[in-house]
Amino acid sequence: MMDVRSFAVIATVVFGIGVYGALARRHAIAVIIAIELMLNAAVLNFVSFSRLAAPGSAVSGQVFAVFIITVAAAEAIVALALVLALHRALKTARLDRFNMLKW
Amino acid sequence: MGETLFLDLKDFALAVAAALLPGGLLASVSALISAGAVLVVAPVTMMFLTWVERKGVGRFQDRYGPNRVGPFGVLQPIADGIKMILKEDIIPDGSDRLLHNIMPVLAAAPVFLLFLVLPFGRGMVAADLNVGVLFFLCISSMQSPMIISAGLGARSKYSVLGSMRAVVQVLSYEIPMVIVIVAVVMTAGSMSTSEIVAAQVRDGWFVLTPWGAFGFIVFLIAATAEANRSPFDMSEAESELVAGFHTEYSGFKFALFQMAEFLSAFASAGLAATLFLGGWQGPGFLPSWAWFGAKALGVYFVLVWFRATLPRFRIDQLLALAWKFLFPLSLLVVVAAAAWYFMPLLPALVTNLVLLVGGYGLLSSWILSEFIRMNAPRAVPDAR
Amino acid sequence: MPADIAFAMLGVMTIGGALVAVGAGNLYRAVLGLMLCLVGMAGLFLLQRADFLAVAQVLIYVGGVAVLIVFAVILTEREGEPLAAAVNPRMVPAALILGAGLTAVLVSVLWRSTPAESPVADVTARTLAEALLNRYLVPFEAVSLLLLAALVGALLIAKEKES
Repeated sequence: MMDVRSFAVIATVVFGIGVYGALARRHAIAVIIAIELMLNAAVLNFVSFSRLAAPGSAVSGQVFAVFIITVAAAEAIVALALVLALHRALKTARLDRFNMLKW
Repeated sequence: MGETLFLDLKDFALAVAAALLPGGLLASVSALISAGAVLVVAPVTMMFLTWVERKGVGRFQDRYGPNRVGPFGVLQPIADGIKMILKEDIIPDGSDRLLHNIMPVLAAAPVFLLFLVLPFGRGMVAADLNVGVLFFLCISSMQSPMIISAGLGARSKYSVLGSMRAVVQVLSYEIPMVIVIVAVVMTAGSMSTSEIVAAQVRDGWFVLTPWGAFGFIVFLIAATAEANRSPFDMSEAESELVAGFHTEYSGFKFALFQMAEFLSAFASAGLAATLFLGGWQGPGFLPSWAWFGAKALGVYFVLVWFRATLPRFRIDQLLALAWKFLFPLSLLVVVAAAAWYFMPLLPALVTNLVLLVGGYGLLSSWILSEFIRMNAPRAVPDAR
Repeated sequence: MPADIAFAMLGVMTIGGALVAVGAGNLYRAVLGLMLCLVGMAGLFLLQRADFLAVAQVLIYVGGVAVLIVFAVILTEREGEPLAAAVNPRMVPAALILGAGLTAVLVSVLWRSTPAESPVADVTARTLAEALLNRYLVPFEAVSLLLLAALVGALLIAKEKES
């Protein structure tokens, strides 16, 4: 039960849930949450599959995971700042209201 | 006397378990015994700490403190506990019931994990992780979302204000604390708490070096703020916010928040003793765990002393202190620690003193001028 | 055996947290679900002996990102616009098909693969640090630059314009 496959299945399911959330949710912050889920599923995959690498290079997967966590944090900060700026301009954080470029 | 008392007790329990259970479970049982010891000791410690706190503050204020229940009032915490359980449990109308009910538990539960990585004595660490110090920080950082959710769940403005303040403060003071810990980890060459103590057995207590002394002071201030204790108790400033984020809590849920607070303050004191004061080592007339307890209690007593002596900060002063004073000073501590590690004694001493004393002088004059500027009467803006 | 029980519990926690995070109408609860999911993930890292990553995950996400998200929710919450209308009904079928389909395809591929011998890598904080500061030094510095840029950029975007 503890082989790489079962971890990968969990990561896949979380990724799928994240895809659903990112597409279906209406509130910008909810979409950010869903994107965080997807990024974390990727981190889990990197950690799990690094176990299959040659003994000396198993660390590479975890290094990648560190980078993803860092980039995800930076992404969350910038995205939240954007949501705040949009909220200040348009008084809403609902994505379907951000339609000024449509016409 | 009794150096291996607790280890012997554990061995005895393990021997009993080995006689009763199949061999495969023995490792799990060993872990369970350590965890169980932490779970039993922590609430008892918390009760004792409330007594120390009230007695200490009482004495500082020229009062007796609790002295009715039991000799010197030592049974007062038990009376308090019974009172807390008997109180009515009030859930305010319009609060988010789920958040309100779940948050006291989620705030109190992680605190027990803090004690897993503290070395209470020679060979007495419940889980010797190779990322021990980082684990401690990670668990203590889990408190800020719990605090903010507890405040938001109540939907009362005092709670929300208190939780916002608490989170801003905890996030700001975490940074100098982490940077100072980096200096210690760098010098000891490990993040495992037991190896940090071992490094201090080898090289002497870190607090006795110049960078260690400054680092200890920065750590102590940051830990006071992390634990939301006076003079940094912005989040529950009773004269401004009623009781901050736990205004709407009563009875046993309130007691859980109190327990989380006292225990995390004590755990920070224990971490300070581990990182800077040599952990469990000390002259042999007392067993190692007694030395650890004495040091941790000593640091805790200093926290009580702070509380009794200093008036409360204002929120802008508090953030200025974190970002304009502690943060640069902690970076200087890291540089000084590196110099101490790589240079021979005399130049290292000179570099350390120049960096730290000079930096301290500059930064403290800057922060003082900032404080004065903050308190200056504002010019009345022109009517627009 | 205890590891299997832990794995099952953490898996349920992770997936359940993820479901709450995308399903809850109330955004505060969604953030709680996210935290639950992330802590479960950290537990899954621990099961694979990635101690450092597990701890860093909790430190950064639960202590940092989750709190930031809660702050953003507070700042963007408005009276007239209940958060409960959280799902765009026209997007739901497409999102469901895409999410569920992707999951189904990937899981079925995984299921058909032969289970490989999977040793537990012994990566300590020390080996990780050595890799980061030797072989991966340039990406490491690039990521720190990225963090700095994100910090400054976020400040610039979110700052109130002084009139």
